[in-house]
Amino acid sequence: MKVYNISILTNSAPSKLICAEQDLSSFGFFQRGSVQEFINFFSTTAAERTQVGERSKIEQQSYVGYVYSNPNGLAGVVVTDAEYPSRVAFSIINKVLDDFTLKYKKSDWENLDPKKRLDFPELKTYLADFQDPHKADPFMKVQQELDETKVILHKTMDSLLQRGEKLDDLVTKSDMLSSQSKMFYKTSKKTNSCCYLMHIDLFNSVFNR
Amino acid sequence: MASDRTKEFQATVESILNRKTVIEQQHLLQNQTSPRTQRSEFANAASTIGKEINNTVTKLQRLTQLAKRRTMFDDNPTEINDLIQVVKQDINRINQRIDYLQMSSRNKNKNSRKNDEDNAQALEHSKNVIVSLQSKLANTSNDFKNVLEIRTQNMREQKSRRDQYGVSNLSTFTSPDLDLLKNNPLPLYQTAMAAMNYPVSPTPSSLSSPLVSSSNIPNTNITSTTPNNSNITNNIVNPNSSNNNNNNNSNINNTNLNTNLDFNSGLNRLSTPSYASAYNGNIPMYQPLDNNNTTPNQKDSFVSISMDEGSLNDSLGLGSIIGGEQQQLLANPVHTEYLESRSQAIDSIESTIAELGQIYQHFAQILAGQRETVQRIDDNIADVEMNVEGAQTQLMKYYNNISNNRWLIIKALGIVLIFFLIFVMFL
Repeated sequence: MKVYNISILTNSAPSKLICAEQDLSSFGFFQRGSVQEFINFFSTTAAERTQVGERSKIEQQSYVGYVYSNPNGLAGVVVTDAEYPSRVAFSIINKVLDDFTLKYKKSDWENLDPKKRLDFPELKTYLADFQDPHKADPFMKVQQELDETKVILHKTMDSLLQRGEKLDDLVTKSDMLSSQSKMFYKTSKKTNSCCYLMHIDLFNSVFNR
Repeated sequence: MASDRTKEFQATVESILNRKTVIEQQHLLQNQTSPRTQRSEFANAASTIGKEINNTVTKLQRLTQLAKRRTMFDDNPTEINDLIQVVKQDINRINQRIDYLQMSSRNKNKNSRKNDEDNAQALEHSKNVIVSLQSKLANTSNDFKNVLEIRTQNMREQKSRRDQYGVSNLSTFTSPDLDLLKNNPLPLYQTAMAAMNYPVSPTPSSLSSPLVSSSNIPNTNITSTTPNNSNITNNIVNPNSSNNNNNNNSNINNTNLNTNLDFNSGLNRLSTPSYASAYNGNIPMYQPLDNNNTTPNQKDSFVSISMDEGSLNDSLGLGSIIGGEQQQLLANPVHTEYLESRSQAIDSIESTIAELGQIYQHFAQILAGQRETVQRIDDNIADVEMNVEGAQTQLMKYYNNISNNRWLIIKALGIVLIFFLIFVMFL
C-alpha cells in the first residue's frame, strides 16, 4: 500500500499544478521520469475534467488516482496503488486541501505562473506519513486504538478471572484454617479443664518424661 | 382669456367648505355616539384582519408556486419550510384575532343595551363580518393544506427518482438509523430515540390554540364539540356548521382532528431549519412510515395523513441534508461509495465502543463479586486469629498449670522416695 503522489492543482480549465510531492522509490531509476510525467499529465487532466465538489476514482494499469475538486477552486489528486483504501485517499485529499487553504489565500495561487510551484513542505511529511493508511485516516486511527484497547481489556478480563480463582482458593484455605484453629482452641481448652481426662493427660505427660 | 373668475373660485371654495363642514358634522356625530365608535373599532380590527388574510394569501400563492416546481434540483427546502411555518403562524394569529374580535363584540353588545333595534342590526352586521373573515381564513387554510399535500407528493416522487439514480445514496443517510432502530439494541440510539419521543407528544397540545377557550361561547361558528384536541384547520373548515351538525359529525371531526394534529405536529417537526435537528427529528417519525407501509397499526385512522407526515418528514429532512447542490453528486457512484465507506467506518467504531462498554460492565460486575469473596476471606482470617489467640492463652494456662504441677509432682515423688527409704531402712 503505497502513495505515489499527492498534488494540489487549480480546478479551472487550464489546470495549473500548484504543488506536488511524489514518492517513486519503488520504481526503477529509469522508469521514474516517465512515471512522473504520466502522473503530472494525469493530475492536470483529472483536475480539469472533474466537476466542482465531485470525487472520482480513476484506475489505470497498476495505479489508482483519486481526485476531489473543491468548491474554492482547488483540486487535490492522490495517486496510489490498487490496495490503498479509497476512503483514506479521499480523506488525505481533504486534509491536504484544508491545510493548504489555511496556509495560502486564494490570491496567492489564483494567478500562478504555470511553471512556478508554491512551497508547501508539509506535503512531503504527509506523503511520508501517509504511506501507512492507518495514520492518514482518523477513522482508522480510532479504530486501531479501539482494537488495541479491546485486546488490553480482554487480557485484563483474563487476569481478573484468574484473580477470582485465586481468591476462591484463598477462601477455602481460610475456611479450613479457621476450622482448624477452632479445633486447636477447643483441645487446648480441654487440656486446661480439671477433669479426669486431664489427670490422665498429666500422668501421661509425666510418664513420658 | 384672462377673465376674472375669482368670484367663481370663491364660490367653489365656499361650497367645498360647506361640504367639508357637513362631513365634519357627520364625523362629529359619529364620534359622539359610543356604539358607533365601538363599531368603527370593530371595523378597524376587521379591516386589519382582512389585510392580514390577504398577506397570507399572497404568501400561500408563493408557496404554491414553489411547491409545484417539479425539478429535482434547484429546490430550496429551507425557504419552503420557512414559508410553511410563516403561513401557519399567520393562520394561527388571524384565527386568534377573529376569536378575540368575536368575543369582544359579543361582550360589548351584552354590556350596552341601549337601542334594541340598533343593537340587533349591529350584532348581525358584526356576525356577518366575522363569518366572512372566517370563511376567507377557511379557504386559505384549505389551500394551504392542498399545497402541503402537493408538496408531499412531490417529495415522494423526488425520493423515488433519487432511488432510481443511486440505490445506496439514501441508505447512507437513512439505513444507519433504520438499522439502529430495528436491529441494534445500542444504548446510544435507544436513549436518543427515547429523548426524541418526548417532544412528539407535547406539540399537539401546543397546537390547540385559544380556540379551546372560545368553546364556551354558544352558537359560535368556530368552536367544535371536542374541546380536547381542537385544531385550527378543522375548525375553520367547518365555519358554518351549527352545534347540531357537529354532534353528528363529531366522529368524523375527531378523526379529522387527529389526522390534522399529526399533520401539524409533523409540520412542527419540520419547522427547524437546522439540518441536524431536522435529521434528528426524523428518527422517531421513520417508524410510523415503515409500519404504515407494512402492517396496519392501531392508529388506523391516522394512516392516510401520517404516512404523508412520515414521508414529508423523511423527505424534507433528507432534502435539508442533501441540499440542492449535492443532489447531483449522489448520482456519482464514487461519491456514494466514499460516503458509504465512511458510514461503515463510523458504524464499526461505534459498535466497537459499545462492545468496550459491555466489557467494562462485565468487568465491574465480576469485580463486585470478587469484593464479596475478599470480605469472606477477611472474616475467616479474623476468625482464625481469634481462635489461635484463644488457644494460645489456654495453652499458656496449661503450661503454667503443668509447670506448677511439676513442682507438686516433685514434692509428691520426694515424699514417696522418703517413704521408700524409710521402708528400705526398716526392712
